[in-house]
Amino acid sequence: MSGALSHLESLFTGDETARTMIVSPEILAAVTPPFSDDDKGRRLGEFRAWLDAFLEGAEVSVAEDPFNKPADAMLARVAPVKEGFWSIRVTDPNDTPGIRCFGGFGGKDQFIALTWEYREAIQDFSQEIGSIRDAWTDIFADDRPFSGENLDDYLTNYRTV
Amino acid sequence: MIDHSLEKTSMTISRTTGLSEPSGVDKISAGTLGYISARHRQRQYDLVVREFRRSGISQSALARRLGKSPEVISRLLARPGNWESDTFSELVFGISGGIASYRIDYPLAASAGTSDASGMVFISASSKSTEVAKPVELSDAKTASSSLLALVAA
Repeated sequence: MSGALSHLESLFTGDETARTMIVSPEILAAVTPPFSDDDKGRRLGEFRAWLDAFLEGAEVSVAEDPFNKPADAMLARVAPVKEGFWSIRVTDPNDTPGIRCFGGFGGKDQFIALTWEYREAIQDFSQEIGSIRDAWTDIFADDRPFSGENLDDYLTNYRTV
Repeated sequence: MIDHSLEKTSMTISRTTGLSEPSGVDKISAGTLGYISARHRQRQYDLVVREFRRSGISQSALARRLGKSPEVISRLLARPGNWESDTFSELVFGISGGIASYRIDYPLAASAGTSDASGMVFISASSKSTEVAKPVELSDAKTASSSLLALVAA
């Protein structure tokens, strides 16, 4: 991973946001319009809408158990839980496998997203976890993702699923 | 909290959101429509979940009110979905007796420099027993930009 991280702003509300999302250059490139007029563009538009919803303080459904989560969860912990990494789960459009984006919290309502991939391209989740671990360490060295005692420490406006 | 390894710096910014208003007969890209549709789904979901939370009723009670199975209600409340209009209406009414009201805003007009645009398509629910949710209002339309603060590792 190269380049600076960026504070993402909502396309519609700018920096007047309830939460903070910091993204890698790769993610910023993927979710910055214009979005193309094809399935890929639609999927990336959905991805950006997820991120903007987070920024604007929208309700987020959260799964804490990586091994027992409903398909509908919007945000889920990834194993091993103690490492503090999470998966943003973009599951629309319905006729696609969606997108997964990985990162960790920097504090309450502050998410740092570093890697992403089309779901169908993820063959081995442990490999993705290795990628996010490496990306995080490259940037933050020994600083690990924020770790709270319960979901209230991570988020406002969430719903456990 | 991770903050000591980051430093904020300014960047030259563009005031366009990267999305443009529909114009003439130009086709709107599938990506733009995907973004707009997803945004709308999320707003509906927010409204329903917040109304549900305020109401204090249980999922099973809502299921009984609407004559649906608890599993269906659980699935509907699990994430934003491409609900039919009737489903949205039934959820809002079933939860609190509310009805949805609509307002259309023109956020892309803001990025184009025109005035009185305040944000986004907003849906509210009206109910005699609950407070109406408030939209995100921008006091200055010019703040609806895509400016970025670059964060660089120290």
